[in-house]
Amino acid sequence: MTMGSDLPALLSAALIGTERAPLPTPGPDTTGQAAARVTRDDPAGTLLARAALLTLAATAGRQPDPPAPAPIPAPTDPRPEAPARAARHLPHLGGPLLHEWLTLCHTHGSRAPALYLPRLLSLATQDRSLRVPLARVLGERGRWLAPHAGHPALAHADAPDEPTWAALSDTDRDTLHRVLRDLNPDAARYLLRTHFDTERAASRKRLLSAVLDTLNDDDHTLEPLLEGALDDRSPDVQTLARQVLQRLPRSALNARLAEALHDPGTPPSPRDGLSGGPQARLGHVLRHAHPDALLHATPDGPPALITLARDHHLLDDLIAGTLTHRHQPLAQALLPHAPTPALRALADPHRTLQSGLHDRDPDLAALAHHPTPWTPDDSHAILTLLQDTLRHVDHPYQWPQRWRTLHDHAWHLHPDTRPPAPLPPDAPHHAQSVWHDLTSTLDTRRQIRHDFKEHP
Amino acid sequence: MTPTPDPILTLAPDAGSAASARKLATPTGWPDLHAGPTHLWGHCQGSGAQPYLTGVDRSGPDAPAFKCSCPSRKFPCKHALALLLLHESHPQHFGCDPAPDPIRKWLDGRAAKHAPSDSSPADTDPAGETRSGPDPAAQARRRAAREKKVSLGLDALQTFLNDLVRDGLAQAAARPYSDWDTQAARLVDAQAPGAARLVRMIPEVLPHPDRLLAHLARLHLLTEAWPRRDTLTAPQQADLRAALGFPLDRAATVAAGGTDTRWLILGHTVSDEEHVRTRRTWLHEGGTTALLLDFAAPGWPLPPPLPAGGSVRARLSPAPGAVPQRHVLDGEATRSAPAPLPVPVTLEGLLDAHGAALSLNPWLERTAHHLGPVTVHPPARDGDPWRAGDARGSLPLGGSDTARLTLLALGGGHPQTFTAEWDGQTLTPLCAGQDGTLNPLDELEHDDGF
Repeated sequence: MTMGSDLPALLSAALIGTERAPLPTPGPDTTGQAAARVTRDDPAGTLLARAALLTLAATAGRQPDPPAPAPIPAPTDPRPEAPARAARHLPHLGGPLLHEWLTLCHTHGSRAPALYLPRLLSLATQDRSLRVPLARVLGERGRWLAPHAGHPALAHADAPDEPTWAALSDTDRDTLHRVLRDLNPDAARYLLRTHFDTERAASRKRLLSAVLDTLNDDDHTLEPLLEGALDDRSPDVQTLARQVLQRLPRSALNARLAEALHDPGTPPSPRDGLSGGPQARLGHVLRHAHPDALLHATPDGPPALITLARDHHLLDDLIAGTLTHRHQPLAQALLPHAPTPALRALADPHRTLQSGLHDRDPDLAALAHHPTPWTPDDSHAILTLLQDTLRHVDHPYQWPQRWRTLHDHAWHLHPDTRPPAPLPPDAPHHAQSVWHDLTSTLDTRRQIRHDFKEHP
Repeated sequence: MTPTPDPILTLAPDAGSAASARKLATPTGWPDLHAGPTHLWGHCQGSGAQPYLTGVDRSGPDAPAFKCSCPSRKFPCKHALALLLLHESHPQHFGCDPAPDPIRKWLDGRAAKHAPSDSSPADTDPAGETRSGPDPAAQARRRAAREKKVSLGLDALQTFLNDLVRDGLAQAAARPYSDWDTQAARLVDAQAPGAARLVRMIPEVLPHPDRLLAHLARLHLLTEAWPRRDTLTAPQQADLRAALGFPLDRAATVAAGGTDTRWLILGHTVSDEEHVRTRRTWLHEGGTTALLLDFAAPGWPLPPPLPAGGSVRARLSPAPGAVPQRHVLDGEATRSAPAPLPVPVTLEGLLDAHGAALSLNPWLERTAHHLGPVTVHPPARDGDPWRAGDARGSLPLGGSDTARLTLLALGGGHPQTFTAEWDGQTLTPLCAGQDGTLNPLDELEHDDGF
């Protein structure tokens, strides 16, 4: 409260107490003179009555405080806000539905409406997985707002300057790096090259984990840094750098591993992960080297590579490497030698799925390799299967685990899936409830897509 | 009229009785529940072998009246309050059996007491039954008794305040909380709950000496105004009574007439105090800003809110007072076409309007305004307040983090408009202006859909 001229003196006397402090003499101004006319039998009463007069006068006559320094306004946003029809869903969405909304918003070239930015930023505080999808649709307004909402890492679409980077926590640095990996990969690589060596080991681990999670072919330019990280002080960082290099088909590490494939005399190199005897080293090569590099070093193609692995009783290592790298051609070549469900699913996910649906026994591994969202026809078949198995279920654990797992993947159902007929009215309450959630979620997804598409 | 749960619990002699009544207000503990045209009765299974016989008479000028066979010395007892609550929440559990003798005799006695001694023809309806109407003499006696209690309570409060200032406010923070609670309880007993509420708020302002002195001075003003109330005008007396917590006579307010028109809802705020949750809904029409108050006891829901930022057609009647701020809703409010937004005021305009209102009613706590164009300023440093500012100055901006950030997001650092409540210290934002409409900020706050 702004205090009038006599109020500070009155307050001092009140704090000390009228038993020990005399009443202050009222000032010559108008309120002071008015206060002077207020007297009571008791000094304490006089003080309170004068204070009532002066505080009321101060409140009633209050002027604004001095102007505050004006904030730098948010830059103009080139992208429009998401259409109001689509935005109306936002207050009701959570989890995967919110992810889907954010992705659709990005796909349609829109940004999140300003009205909902604070809540979205608040949600991203609790849910890390929201940060990158949200960063894509923050727009200039959202990035401008982010630091005020406790998200300095979401304020950037480019590599920040040194003081800004230094002021961020490890978690914020990780977030910023992941956001830039998505929005501006060149800036992310520049950031990594600039700061990697001076980061603490925990932070170096996070930065490399982000590279591993979002690796693409352009990351070959990071090879010198990654090669250097093979000699890092932290064994965890070494391992991560090795994993990244193994996932880059044309990396020097893969070339060295491929060289060891046909040269049993290659000396051990713990830096490259090659240790133990020749058999162990060969097993490591087959399990970890990128199949493209192995095939490049094997002119006679997959059959020769498979023969080599079989001759050394290392077919399992080759299969493991094929599955890790999700290498479909090699999986197809391996299938006659090892017709495992996992290889079959990787080799031909569509056929595996169709066959599973036909037999009412879908291969969940095949679904993992299937492009998402699943086609409307596949989705309809899966939905029908789920409904059939759900029909008599009256508590969660009565539904076998495989169907519950399939139900967990229902986010991959195509939103335009034609739903089967409703469950019969006598179906148990639990079945009705699960079915209702499933179909109403599909309805919502369909409506959101429609709102983005039809109401630009 | 059947009181809603909130007024029912305000009849409780203390918080413990209110809490016990709420617990008892389930049909399971009542083997008998019956309702007549103006009375309720029931048997409540207590700790003894015999259930207590409880009755409530809802007729007569002193309604509701209570009778219970329990040994409690509290009045009304928890059983009587629970019976009223039950009738409100579970009317379908009430039968219509005639009341047993003890209740019947009590009801007859009350009816005889309230019957006019010599009925004139005008007091008798065609069926020959006597209408029950207020007895002016009894009302005057009750009013005098209450005013005497209030006078005694405020005298004691003045002595307490003088003692505080005599000893020095620097010592006040060292006082135990029970000092404030005891003083507040005495004011409740003295039927001055408004003054009690202000006393309960003292601990909040203890860390701020200037605010503490202002708060105590405000209380002191109440203690000085009450003995001089006869020198005040009728609206000023109404303001004084409202500040002391005298209940508003809703029927008389409605009967005095109101305005049936389209109102724009500027927003609402909800505050929780010790025994009650209060929702303030601000509406605007023409040059009038009206305040509707809703109350709920802890654990009870508030009535459904009017749509913040929307418009309704409603008849609102102003409560008596020098500043026609508090209103009473007469009947139902129905959604209507959007009403135009009021012309926004600058910060100086807001302070002028607030000051003008305060000069008429010194106990006025808040005013609401459509503000703009102003810019929202986030704190430059940790610990600084948020501010709303224009070229001439700024005011502290309160409210929730989400509300402030939403304003900031919508404004983007540019001037904007919003509705806000001003309490003399801080602006609490209610709705953000956007494209000629108001977006409620509290709905974003409470939305649990995410």
